[in-house]
Amino acid sequence: MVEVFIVLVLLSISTSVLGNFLVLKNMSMLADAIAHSVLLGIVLALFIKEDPESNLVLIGASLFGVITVLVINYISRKRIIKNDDAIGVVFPIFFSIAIILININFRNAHVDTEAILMGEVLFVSLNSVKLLGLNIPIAVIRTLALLIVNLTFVISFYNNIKLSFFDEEFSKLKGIKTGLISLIFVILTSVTTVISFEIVGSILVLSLFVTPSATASLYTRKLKELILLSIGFSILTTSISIPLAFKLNVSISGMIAFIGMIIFLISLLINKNGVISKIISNRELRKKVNGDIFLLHIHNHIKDKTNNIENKIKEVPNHFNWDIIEIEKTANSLIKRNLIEIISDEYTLTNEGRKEVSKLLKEYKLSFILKE
Amino acid sequence: MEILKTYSFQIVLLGTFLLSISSPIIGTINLYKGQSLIGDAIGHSTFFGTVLFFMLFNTRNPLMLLIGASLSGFISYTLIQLSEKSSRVKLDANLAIFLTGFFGLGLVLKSYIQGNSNYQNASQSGLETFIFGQTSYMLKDDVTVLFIIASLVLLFYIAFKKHIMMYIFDKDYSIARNLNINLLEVLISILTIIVVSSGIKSVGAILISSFLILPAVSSRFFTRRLDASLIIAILNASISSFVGSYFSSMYRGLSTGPTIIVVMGVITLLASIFGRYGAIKNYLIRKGAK
Repeated sequence: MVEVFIVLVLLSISTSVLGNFLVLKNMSMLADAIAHSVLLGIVLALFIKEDPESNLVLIGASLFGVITVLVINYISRKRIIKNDDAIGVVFPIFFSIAIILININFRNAHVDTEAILMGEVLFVSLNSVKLLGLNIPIAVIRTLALLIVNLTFVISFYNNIKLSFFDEEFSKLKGIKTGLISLIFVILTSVTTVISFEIVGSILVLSLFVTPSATASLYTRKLKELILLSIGFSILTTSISIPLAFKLNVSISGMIAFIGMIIFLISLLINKNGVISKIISNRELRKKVNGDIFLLHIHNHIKDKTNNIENKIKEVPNHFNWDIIEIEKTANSLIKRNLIEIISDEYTLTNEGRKEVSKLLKEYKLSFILKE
Repeated sequence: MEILKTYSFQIVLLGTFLLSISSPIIGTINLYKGQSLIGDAIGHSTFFGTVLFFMLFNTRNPLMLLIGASLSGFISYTLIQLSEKSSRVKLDANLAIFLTGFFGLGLVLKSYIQGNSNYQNASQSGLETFIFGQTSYMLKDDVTVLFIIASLVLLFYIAFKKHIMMYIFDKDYSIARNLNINLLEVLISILTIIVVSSGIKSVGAILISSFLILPAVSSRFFTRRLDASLIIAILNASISSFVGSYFSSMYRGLSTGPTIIVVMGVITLLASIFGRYGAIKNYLIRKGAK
């Protein structure tokens, strides 16, 4: 399990580093397109040299990722169809051609459709090399290399990437080769996808790219924080999914995608703008407003000297359209804050209360209506 | 050629033809709405519902599985819309999150079944046919379901045609005209989910979205009128389904979905070159303008 964990953590960090940019530039489904289309590159490479481990496969597949993006961009630039639709047109065709070629030529050979789609992360330990006296799975070496490459790219060109992605005109003026940066980016995405293929399968690569980054985007807008948070969420997702999948004896990559989605959903609720946060802050706001109204009411009747009638505990409910429970709650919280006290069945202001009232009058700008 | 005369192939033909009516209509509407990839998300999400219902009710009844598929498609769709509205995460990311999330959940369930002795009857080929489709397994019950769906879609189109056209091409105007946008959107969503769920058996989950999109795209090269473009889309879908089903029945190893999509792709490519609004005509127009 440890080796599986290491491989998946390394992989998920590699993908989420790139994934942030994909999400920010609305390129998530483009990543899906790349993930599906590289299969054709893999198949064509296998035609030339039937060795699934060869570098030709990596090169061919990555090349196809780039080709796919170029074709999609060409189609949408020529206004033939919109960008999203171009995605939905190009990758299914490439993917279908790949599947047909597999059906015809590689049946029962090196290419297993189910493994392509779901990966076989459990088998990573089977393919190991001896390094420094330890048995290290090739997958670990690959994903580590990938991580180093991706991180190096993002860190070294950080400012250039940031500019060219988010202010293309300015970066062109500055002489930054935006085209080159985009190209490298697409190449890295394709390579990452290909390597992820054998580990989590084509469909779930997308989850590794997008979900942690999207979740992170709910908590922050700063790019550096985004990247760090997305890495954090990747590790969190993997840490929960792997033991769980092992315990239940189910698909690991499936579990990762599912848990990632769950974490996203929870984040939707609890983040600063989320539903639960809004409910809580609304409640806090109501409590405050109720307290203020109550205080001002007590103050008014003291001012016009009707307090011995109107401020009596029994009388107050008739002035507010709240139910008894709400009134008691408000009164109790004000008492706790030492702003009012009860003297001979009557609500009255404490010294603190009086200070609070003058503060409120200024805050609500009521001084000209209510006398101080 | 003998295969064309067999009962089972005629069932396949009828079924895919019915699907070729419902999918292009809904697909075209979604295309013009700008939501073409939603079919992809729904398609992948149905995997969960299908496996779940299979587990819960131990059935392969097409109607039951359709309901299961539609339910999880619907839940996924709702979550996508909710996330879209309540957070800064954009549509494409939402699509990706939920399509992989639900598909992953489906995989988890399926792998659970595979190891479990209670489900020894479960066929292992289920995943591949779900993903790539296999029309040769189509039965009369499937055709009945497809017939009902095609009728619903046609009825919807005929009844709401004016509303649909207004909604697609001038949303503000239709709001001004007090058109019941919500009802229309709900109906379109429900129909999309049902059509996608029903198409999975033939074309597979991954490719069902392009089954909806490609015919619509190809027809744009021939006409700009809605009615005519639907007819062309239906034609494209039918021809592709026919050819695809034929070849996948002839060669057992060939999955239907990819074959149909490749044929559709070829038709679309030809349309983009030779069509009324295609590349050649455009070139000639530009040349003539000089």
